[in-house]
Amino acid sequence: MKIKLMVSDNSYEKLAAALTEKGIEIDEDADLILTERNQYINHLTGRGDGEIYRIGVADIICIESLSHDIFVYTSDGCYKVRERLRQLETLLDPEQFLRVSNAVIIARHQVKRIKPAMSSKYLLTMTDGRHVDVTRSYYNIFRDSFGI
Amino acid sequence: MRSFSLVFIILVFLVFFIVGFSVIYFFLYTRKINQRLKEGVYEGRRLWTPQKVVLCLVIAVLVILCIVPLSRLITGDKDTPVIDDAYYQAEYMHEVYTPEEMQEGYLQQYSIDENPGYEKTIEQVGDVKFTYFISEQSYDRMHPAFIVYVQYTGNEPVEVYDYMVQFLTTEYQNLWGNGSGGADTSDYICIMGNASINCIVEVYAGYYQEKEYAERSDEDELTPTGEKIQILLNHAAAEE
Repeated sequence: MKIKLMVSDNSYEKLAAALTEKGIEIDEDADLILTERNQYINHLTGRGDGEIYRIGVADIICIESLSHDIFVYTSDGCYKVRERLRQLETLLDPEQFLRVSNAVIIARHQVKRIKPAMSSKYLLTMTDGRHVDVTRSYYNIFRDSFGI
Repeated sequence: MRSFSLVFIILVFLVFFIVGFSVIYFFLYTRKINQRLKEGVYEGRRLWTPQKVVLCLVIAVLVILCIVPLSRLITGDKDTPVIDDAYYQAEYMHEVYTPEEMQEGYLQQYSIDENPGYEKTIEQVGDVKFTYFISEQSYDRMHPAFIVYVQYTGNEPVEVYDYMVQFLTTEYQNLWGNGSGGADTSDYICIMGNASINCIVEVYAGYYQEKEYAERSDEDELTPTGEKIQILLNHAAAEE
């Protein structure tokens, strides 16, 4: 039996040891996922260049949904994750991450510049130079979150 | 024509004002939010978005444009005194004669040199000489209250003339006016008129070349031009 752990760093080692002892394999590609309530994850597991990487949430610049795939962008590169955007929205700390459109979650501390548009939108420039639109649906949420 | 130009200018100014203000606010707003982002300040008074500012400006301008005419309509223009009804009930008249016509019938009794019972005044205004006579008698329907001889005394050749006679209240409010023109600039024209109420008579006269006159006519026919004199008629009989 394989299981994927999406828990905080504090709980990960303990849980991994306990599950392994019981004969349950920890696998990042497992369909069965164990999550922790009221805790936000510190790492994501993503695939890039055929390899599996453990991505610290502090390194994440933004997460984007393209077609049916979810990509996590960091300063090092781009990684594909299996979780859905809606799921990630609940797993990531809302103090650090904010959904700005149906397809994008940004890391708040990675926003370099905000440019307002005349049509109830903002154009964000992230620290890696990437441009992200805050769409009309998320306009007020963004304003409340950033206090502008 | 003038009032239309003024309204147009005001509207253009307002459009430029709204656009200019919005652009400036847009830049200030962008600067402010990025300043807050840089300082990591996520709490504080929310700023008005540029869209909100533009909307409020447009509404404010529209409201002002509606309120001002409405208030003037309700209260009336307090700066402009109301014209007494007596002025509207009075009679005003004038006629213009050429030198040839002045030699005919009863007009022969009037002269550019002297007219008994009239006070003579000569006024040189630019290239136009006004020799005018004001009656020293009380109002009389049969005799003119004022006679004005208009002559061109300039050196430049002229081809046409025009004139206008405007009756005003003693407060200088317009009552009634009329004018015309002609091509015979060789001698004088004689303007005679009367009014059954004390008032002010403005006489305009101008001499032009054909081309200049045509251009002037294209611009604004209603605004009198040329040289001007004002005559105070103080002769009306007291009310019985």
